[in-house]
Amino acid sequence: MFHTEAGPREVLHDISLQVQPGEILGLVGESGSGKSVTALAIMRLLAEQGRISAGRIALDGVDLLGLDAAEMRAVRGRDIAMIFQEPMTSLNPLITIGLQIEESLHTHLGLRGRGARDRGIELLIEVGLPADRYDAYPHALSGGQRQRVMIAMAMACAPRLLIADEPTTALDVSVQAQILALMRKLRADHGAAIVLITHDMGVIAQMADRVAVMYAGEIVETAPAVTLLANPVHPYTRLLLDCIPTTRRRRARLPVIHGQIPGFGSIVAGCRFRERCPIALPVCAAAPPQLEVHDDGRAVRCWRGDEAMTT
Amino acid sequence: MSAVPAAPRSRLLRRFRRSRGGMVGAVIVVVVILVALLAPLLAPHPFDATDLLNTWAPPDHVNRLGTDRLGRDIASRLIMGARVSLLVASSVLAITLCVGVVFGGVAGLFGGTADGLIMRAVDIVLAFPEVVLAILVAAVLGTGTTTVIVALSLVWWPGIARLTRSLVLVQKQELYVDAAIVCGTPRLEILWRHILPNIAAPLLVRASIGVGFIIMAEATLSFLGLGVQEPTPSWGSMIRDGLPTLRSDPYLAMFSSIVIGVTIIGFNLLGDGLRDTLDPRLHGH
Repeated sequence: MFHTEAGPREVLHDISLQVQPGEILGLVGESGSGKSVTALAIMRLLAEQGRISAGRIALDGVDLLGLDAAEMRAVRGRDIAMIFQEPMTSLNPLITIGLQIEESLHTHLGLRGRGARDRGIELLIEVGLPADRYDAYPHALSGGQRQRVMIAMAMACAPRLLIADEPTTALDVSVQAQILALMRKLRADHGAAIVLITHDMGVIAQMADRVAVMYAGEIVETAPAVTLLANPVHPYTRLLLDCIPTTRRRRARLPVIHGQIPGFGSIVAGCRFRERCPIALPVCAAAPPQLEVHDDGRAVRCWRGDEAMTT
Repeated sequence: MSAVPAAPRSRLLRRFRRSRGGMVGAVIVVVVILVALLAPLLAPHPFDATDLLNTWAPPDHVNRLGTDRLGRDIASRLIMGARVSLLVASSVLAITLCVGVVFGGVAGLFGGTADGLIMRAVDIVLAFPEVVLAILVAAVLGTGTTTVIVALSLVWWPGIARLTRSLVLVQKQELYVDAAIVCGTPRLEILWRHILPNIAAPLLVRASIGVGFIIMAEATLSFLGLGVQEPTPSWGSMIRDGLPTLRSDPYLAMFSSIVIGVTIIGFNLLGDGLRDTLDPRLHGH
């Protein structure tokens, strides 16, 4: 729920995500679908006008919404860590990367001086940077190297949940592959649960165990990655997958999903996707569909979901 | 890539030496400070020795810079005046920077009620002309150097607080602040460790420019009889004494102005040099 000048507006509706230790959950959707807001809500970092009006954010059964500011601060960085999209600006330009890596170590583990430095250098090596870069300033590193530093900072306290908000969007493709490989390695080594936010289906295919597709502040479909990619059910998911260029289908033009995502002030009655949906029925305008759970671990928010499952 | 990085401190010093303006400024500031410290040894004549038969004398081999309206040696008075001027300028800067940065930083970082309270207090202080505040302080403390320092600090901290607040608001938008929050770093530590170094450059520049204004403001207060009292000299009060006779006997006002001007330029150059040295972005490997 966001409080805007035009009164309260609901930005996210009925978001339910679960991620197990060692699992990578991919969160996809186009710009403005609410992916990043979801991440910020989990961290309880919504700006002053944002409020979580209902729900629960549980980490190992502890409801984060019930924690006071100091307790929440202790959770951030220690239990939940986050990586941002922009490695170029996510590091403080005036502090050496080593000291920035040490920050979590001394906030949460009380490590200082020699001990913090040794651990920091270990982390730096773990993310694949040479130890002699420890005293470098951020401007001396490339985007990929900075993202590695961000990952080292995030992994400093071995968090149980890592939220990566488009970690590779700002990087070129070969560096992107290296960073993704690094994240898979960290998942394997530490058993952290990862929420990977992206709009890149290719990244999802490489990384995710399960996928949740978001549209206009709702989850429209969630399923194991293999199932979803092979057999998408929700029309939005299908259209998204159709938009990926492949080498097999030689088409003159890529298909386009017409129209725009509704602004969160102008969400229509009924299904939020119906105005752009190629298979919309009268019922779609009448009432919003619910997220229906199916046998194969899939949940779909569409009136024609059952129909699509059988065809 | 540098083979073995030098210790950060010596690297900073080497960088600073390379900045020519900064070195010139540093030399000027060091000289002024030394003069102030060693004033009694350096002054060729007693600063308060009057000679009514030799008033408004032009420079000669006895009074190298001439004499004032009581026949006192201008050079000696300028040398002694460095003490008062530097004492006032450095105390006011130290006090206002501490108070202004803390209040401005808290207002900018926390926002909400703290922001409202602090910035309204700033508005109230700024609504009074500095002289009125100084008279108020003088009424409480009596006249003297302390009064000047307290009064000017009262007048000066709101400007620093406003500047700091606006700088903090800009830095708050930067992702590295979000990254620090996500690491669970407490907010005051974010202010101290992350934001402060990033806003130090404009604050330094503001402080070095402030030296000049403070010296002049001290002159105003002394002129009104609220500040440094005769016979103790201060640079500002010497300019003031020299102004009425600027056409006939310009030396007092001229030499005092030159001394203040050179000192201010020295502080400004030093401030610029420090800013350039402290910013690692300006120095590749």
